[in-house]
Amino acid sequence: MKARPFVLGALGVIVLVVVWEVGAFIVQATNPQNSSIIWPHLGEVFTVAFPAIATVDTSGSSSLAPGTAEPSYWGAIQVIAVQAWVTIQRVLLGIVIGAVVGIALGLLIHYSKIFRSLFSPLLEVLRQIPLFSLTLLFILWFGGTDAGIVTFVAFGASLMMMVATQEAASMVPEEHQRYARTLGATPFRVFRTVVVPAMLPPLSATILVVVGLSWAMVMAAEFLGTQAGLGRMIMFFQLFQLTDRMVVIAGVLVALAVASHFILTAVFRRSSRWVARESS
Amino acid sequence: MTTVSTQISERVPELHQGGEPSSSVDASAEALITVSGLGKSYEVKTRGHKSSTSTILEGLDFEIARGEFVSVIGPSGGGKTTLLNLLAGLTEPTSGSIQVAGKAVKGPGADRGVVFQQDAIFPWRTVQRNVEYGLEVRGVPRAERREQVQRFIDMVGLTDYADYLPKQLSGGMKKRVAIATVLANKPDVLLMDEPFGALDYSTRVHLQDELIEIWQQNRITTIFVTHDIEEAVYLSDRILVLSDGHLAEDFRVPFGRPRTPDIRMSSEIQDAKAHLWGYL
Repeated sequence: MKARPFVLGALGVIVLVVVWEVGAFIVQATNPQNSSIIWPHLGEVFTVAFPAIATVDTSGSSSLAPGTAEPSYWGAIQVIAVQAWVTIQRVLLGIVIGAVVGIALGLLIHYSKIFRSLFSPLLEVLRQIPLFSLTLLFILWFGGTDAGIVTFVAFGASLMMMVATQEAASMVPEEHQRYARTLGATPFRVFRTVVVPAMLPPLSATILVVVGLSWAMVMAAEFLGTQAGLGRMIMFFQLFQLTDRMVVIAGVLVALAVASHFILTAVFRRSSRWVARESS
Repeated sequence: MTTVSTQISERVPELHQGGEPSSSVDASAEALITVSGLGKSYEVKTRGHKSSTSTILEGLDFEIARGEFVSVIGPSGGGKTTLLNLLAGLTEPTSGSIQVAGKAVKGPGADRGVVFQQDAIFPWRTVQRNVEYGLEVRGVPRAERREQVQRFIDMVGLTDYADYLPKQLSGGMKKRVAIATVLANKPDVLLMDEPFGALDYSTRVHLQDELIEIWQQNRITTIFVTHDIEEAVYLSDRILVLSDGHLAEDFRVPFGRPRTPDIRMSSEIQDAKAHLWGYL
């Protein structure tokens, strides 16, 4: 019974690979002159494109450049790891700053009437803005530097966390809070021992969504104005029409996003294990 | 579940030195709770800008002696729950006052424990940690807490369930957790707001028997709100009938203690029920 979702999931991956290969075959058969540029076979991606990434010169202080190193798997892994680490740091920092700011704002709006009347309408408008339309503005204001990209990710994360915090805080059942007060708890203790644990499951769910969005936001920012990171690598390969190498980096990104999702799910499982599920 | 109540009498700890275990409470005993001129009304916004006043309780005067078990019955909307919330300090009176042990009630406090109708116990805490909550609020060290709550967990028959989460418990067991938590906090007064109202009939009957057993051992002053006349007569020394916000009847139940399940079928209980029916 338990193996079935796994088997189906594996089947889904196989279907995707088959569709990809069929697509590559058709594209290459109809465009023989620049075959592998548009839609490379996965075999080529692994055997040619992946080791070739080792040739990228990342030593330059300002940008990536074509280098002279020999293609190798180990060299490629090193190049990718350095660039991935740049991107990971931006995402992590952006999410942490965004979560702290967003949760603080959400709680202020929930608990302070004055704050709510003052900022609620404004924030309501802000959260309607399509985030990616602001990418260029952030690059313009804060530069295509770490600071600019982190600020952009933090901005998006904080808006989502703020809304989620407000909602989670207002969903904390009143009866638990009243019960705690009748047992002698002060308002701060009620917050610490009732409101916080009750908010953790919905907030964890939001953080998972925020993490997914943050990978997209960091890519958008890195495409536009930075000298390092996985997004920059994709742009670099696009410049030289190296589609197969772009596919490699996209694959790395998918792996990172999936890994971050599963790590966080495991971390949050503990704080949510008390939640009654329909089937349990 | 059925074997629990028979074992309780041996395990019940002494909480408060009430009256002699087998005698009824002396009507002239010291008043623990004094309610005088108590009233509660709400402003209700009606159509347009007019507002009208909705009176829930008006001019209530009564005293409750230390060690008395008093039920409050009455038709729904009669103000039973409002009275209990006022006693708990969860709402404020619009007129009159409540004194408990000589002190005016100002807000909720650990001296008045409440068992609510809804499941108010904390779903993220195990049975053990729920029952410890009040002691935690007082700053009792962990090891001492464990030791102190053990007898209350034993008392309600949840010894084998100490590490369970509420989602793994039945409705009746959750009620027992709430009762153990409140009693472990050693309040002067136990307030119960239709605590068994949401349970099925047989669970309700078992919990009534257990409550009687527990109460007969510790004689904690109890105010029990219910809409079930039989439950009120079976459990209480005295029954207050609230109707339209007024005290319609102050009825002294004509049975002594200890009470055993067989008196449920007695003719006296039928007579008492018949008398009280007249007020509903």
